[in-house]
Amino acid sequence: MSERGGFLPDIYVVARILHALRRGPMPKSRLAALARVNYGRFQQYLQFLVERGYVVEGELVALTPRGAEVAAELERLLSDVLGRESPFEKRRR
Amino acid sequence: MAAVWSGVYLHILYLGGMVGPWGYLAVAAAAAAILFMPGGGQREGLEALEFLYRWRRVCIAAAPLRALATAAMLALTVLSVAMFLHPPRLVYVEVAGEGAVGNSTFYTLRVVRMVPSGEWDGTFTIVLIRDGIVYMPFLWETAAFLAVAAGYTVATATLTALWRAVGSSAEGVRRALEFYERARRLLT
Repeated sequence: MSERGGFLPDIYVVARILHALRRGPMPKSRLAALARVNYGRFQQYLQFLVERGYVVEGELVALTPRGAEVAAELERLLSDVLGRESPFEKRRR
Repeated sequence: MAAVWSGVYLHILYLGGMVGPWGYLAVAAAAAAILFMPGGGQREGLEALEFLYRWRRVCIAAAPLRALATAAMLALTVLSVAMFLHPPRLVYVEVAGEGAVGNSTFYTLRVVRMVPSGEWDGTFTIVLIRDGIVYMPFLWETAAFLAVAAGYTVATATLTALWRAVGSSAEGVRRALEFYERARRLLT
């Protein structure tokens, strides 16, 4: 991911935030805990997501329609990668 | 695997006098031929993928198994050639009768068979047959054949069992990388 003003977002933290917000809007402190980053760092992620139009920040943080679309796409990607049959697992009949 | 155990089988046939030293040469030739048989690495494109997919559970193309098979075939070739050049000489004798004089027991022995067949002299090993039981002394040749075959079998079975665990980890890492790359493209 490209560096923006010295901030290099971790793809997994961004994915965790978007994934958490799919359940609905939530306070920043709760979201920071779910993202597993300290609050200062979380603010940088929040700014990054707001700039890209993925979330809106108010009393609660919520996904924008575009953010919801990206989060849904991430979910699909995750189930595509994890849901595939492993070639090393025995096929159950 | 069959070639390695055929070495043991042939050695037993030789000890029983059913095949001559030329049998060892045949095993050496078979083992050497397997050494030069093409493996999974020589296939290309779709054929290579299909081959790896079909054989994924036994991992025939895995480098350690390939190296192990090569080492086993080399050992078998060398051992069989050594046996051909210096076959163990056995004289089977049977206890035909026995008698006691004082504290000593005297046995009357009858030569039943000489392995390899034909006339020869020099040092030899005696195999005693008494009451239908064959008393075969320990031969380093037999131990060597058994060590090669058993060692190869155990090592192959262990590696094949470990392969699935190793392969699963590798598959997990590959998926994590794929997810990261696709998620990065999506979010940037």
